[in-house]
Amino acid sequence: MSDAAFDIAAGGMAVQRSAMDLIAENLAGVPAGRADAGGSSVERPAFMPASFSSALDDALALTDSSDINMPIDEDTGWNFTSASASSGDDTALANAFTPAAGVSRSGIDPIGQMIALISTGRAYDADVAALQAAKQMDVEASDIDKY
Amino acid sequence: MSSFGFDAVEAGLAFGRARAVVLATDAANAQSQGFRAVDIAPAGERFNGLVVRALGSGGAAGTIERAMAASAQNSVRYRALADQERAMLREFRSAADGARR
Repeated sequence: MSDAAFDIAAGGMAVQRSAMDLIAENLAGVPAGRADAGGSSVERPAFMPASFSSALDDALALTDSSDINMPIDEDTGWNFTSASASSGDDTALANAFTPAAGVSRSGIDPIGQMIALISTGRAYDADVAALQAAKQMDVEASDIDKY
Repeated sequence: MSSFGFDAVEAGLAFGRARAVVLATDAANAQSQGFRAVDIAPAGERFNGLVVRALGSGGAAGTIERAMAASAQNSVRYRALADQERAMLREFRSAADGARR
């Protein structure tokens, strides 16, 4: 049997793997679009942070800390704030979790990316099925003389 | 046994191999922009011809599912033909052994 079916199915699998990588990058880049970097309007990450902590540091450095009224727990070092803890003032909560500048939402549609992820996974399954069918046919062909 | 039996079975096997390539192409390109899936059917007096059929647009998901189902069907048909050829060869061998005695 010619190897065309194997080559085509393997090529398709390679493409689906690349598509998976791209979708994963897009999903990872969803909250990382920075306004000062021009944001991200295409489905590619605007930038890939070296680590979450450095990205957080960058975001906080761009934020006026006086806008954020978050008491620090002396024992744990965590910043706690909640609507109930701030005497019913919802704006305190909004300010605490919405940096004034530096970070904005990217233009990537996470739902669309998840749908593309499922579709790409199914296409990979189809390529695997085609590869297995070609392999099975090769085995059958080689077994014909075993009567 | 007529040689037509062997010819028909081997034409069917060749068709199965060709269809596997077509279905692998459909599955690999299902998500490509503007791709139209095709399928092939046997044709001709001795089943040694091919008819190419363009399939209706069922979207990428429809093309993928159809390619998977058709691939499984093609694989089963190929196995049946291989079994048939094996049985015919076994019969040939029995006849040859009987004539030798």
